[in-house]
Amino acid sequence: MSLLEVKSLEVRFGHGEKQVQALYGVDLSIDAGEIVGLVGESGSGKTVTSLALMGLLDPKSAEVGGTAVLDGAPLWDERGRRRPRSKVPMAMVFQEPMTALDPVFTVGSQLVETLRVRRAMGRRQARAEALELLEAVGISDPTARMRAHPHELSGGMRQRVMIAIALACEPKLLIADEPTTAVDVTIQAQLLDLIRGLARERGMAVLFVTHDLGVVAETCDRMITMYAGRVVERGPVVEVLAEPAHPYTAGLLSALPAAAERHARLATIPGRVPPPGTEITGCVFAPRCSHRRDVCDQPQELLPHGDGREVRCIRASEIQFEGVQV
Amino acid sequence: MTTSKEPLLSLDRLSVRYPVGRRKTLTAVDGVSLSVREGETLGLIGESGSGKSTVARAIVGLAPVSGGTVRWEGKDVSSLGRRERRDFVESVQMIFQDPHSALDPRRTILQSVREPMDTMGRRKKSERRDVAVKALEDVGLSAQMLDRYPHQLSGGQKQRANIARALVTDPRVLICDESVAALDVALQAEILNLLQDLKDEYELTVIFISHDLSVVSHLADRISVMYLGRIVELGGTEDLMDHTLHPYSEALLSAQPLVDPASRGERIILRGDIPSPLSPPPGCRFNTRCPHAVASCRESDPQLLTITPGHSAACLRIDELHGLGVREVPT
Repeated sequence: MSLLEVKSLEVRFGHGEKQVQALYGVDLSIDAGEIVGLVGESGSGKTVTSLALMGLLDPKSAEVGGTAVLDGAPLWDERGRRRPRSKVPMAMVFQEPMTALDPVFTVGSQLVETLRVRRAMGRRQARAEALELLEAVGISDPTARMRAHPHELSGGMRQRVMIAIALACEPKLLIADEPTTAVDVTIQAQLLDLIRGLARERGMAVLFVTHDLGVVAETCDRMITMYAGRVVERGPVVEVLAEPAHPYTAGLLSALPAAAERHARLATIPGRVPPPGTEITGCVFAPRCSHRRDVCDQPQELLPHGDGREVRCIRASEIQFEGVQV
Repeated sequence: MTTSKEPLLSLDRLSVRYPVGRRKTLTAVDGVSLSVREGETLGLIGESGSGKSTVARAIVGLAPVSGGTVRWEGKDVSSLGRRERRDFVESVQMIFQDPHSALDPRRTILQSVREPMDTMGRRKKSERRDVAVKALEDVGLSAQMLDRYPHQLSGGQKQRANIARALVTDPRVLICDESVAALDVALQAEILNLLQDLKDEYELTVIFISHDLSVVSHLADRISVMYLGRIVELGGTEDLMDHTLHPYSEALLSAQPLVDPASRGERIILRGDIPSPLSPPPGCRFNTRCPHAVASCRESDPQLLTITPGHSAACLRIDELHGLGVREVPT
């Protein structure tokens, strides 16, 4: 049993006739200390997946189905009642640290608050722990930084503070939703290094949501490609990137400028991700796929494809895609 | 590519300073000299705060030029006559990062694309619609998009509309400021292909600003690396990528996440952030983060010097780090 086991996660938005389905039976498992990348274009369902797990979807408008078990305890029961968030060893880091931090409180007070609520610490103990956490995420001179307001920090520092606050919850699972998209490459390299280090040292599982395959290759152990609310491919990063089995993963990979020769035309994926609620009976990717055949009109299952890999493409064994040697 | 002639656009010790508070100034661009040759694609890269966007904005007049000159075909743009000025404004067009905020939400796509011609009084009124429609067609937007409003378009379509709007005045220089940063990979590839096509079709000179090295190196003929308001390295793309001279460019190259990390050598992870342009460090501006910094780097300020033909860098220790002008060709 893995640390996180998600079975047939479904999310629907809205009510009655206007209800649209955003996730279709997503299965997911992450072991302790493992970093799993969740990739796909915007609209593919990767953020909805992480928000559903975190319990951040508004229960008035979103209906979450399926089961999710973290560290042996379910995140919600059969009737959909969630365990109180403060009891679940899970934390999330968002893309934009400036909007996730409260601008009117100091970094220190936000950290201390989290520690007092989540770990029932006293003021003094929380302060000492906060200093340690800031140090753990690589912030120099933590005593001075405790007194700083978010606007006084750079983007990279703010994201480190966010990670420190996440760590304050002693998470067994960290969900990182595009945590490095808003920062510069040099800072991104620092943050990726930090996240990798924390996962290894603390045995923390990380669900890393990103659209950047380069980041996945550098950081993750396994990857999951999502498309139109479904998992279309999953497997170890090295193998998936070396030999993508799903045309969508292959398409994302060949659209990267780094993979192409200078000035050469880049491969594109024609068309768009279908909006949630679109009725699709056959393969979801077929309308954009250049390898489409008649067999693609039937519903596609996620089928095993070699060792530890799965792919939702009936033609996967017939087609060879060019990958990159990792 | 033409190299013999006068450069189309050139910057001569361009500085942009903003007053902040009492007797304090922020130097966003500090003495940048750069020439853009007709027909080339020049890439400008650097972290946020490096001044790359400010350079672009100073060229088109969106940022105040505090020192130095911008020359258009050899003439200082600040002393252009009315007609020449108009010519210059029409010839240099810019595409911005966020396609959504660059379009007026209350105008249809056609109105927005027509607008530059309306304001500049360009062409007969009756022709303007046709020119706009042609430009929209060239960027791959069909006739049914004409009367839509920006909120009805996807991100990629909006960016296409922005590109179309930049094309209607028959520009010679197109400045793309992080124009693909907000797009998904697949869309990014489409827009990059489109820019390449348009460059050929409209015979454009392109200044491409991005923090994404893989994008810049894909498009650009030459690359200029900026750090804290200065150019630290400038050279042909192949040259700069394969024989990187400046430690900052090296770090930038190495920080780029690659799908095949094994293809890169040892990873250099810079410590700390880019210093505040309000108080740049003395000496070489990169010394606070440079893995090779020595005492002299904190004292003297390196100048941008030509190291090999067409490739220059601003680093005091270049001789020591790379051997005196001698090029080893690694296999």
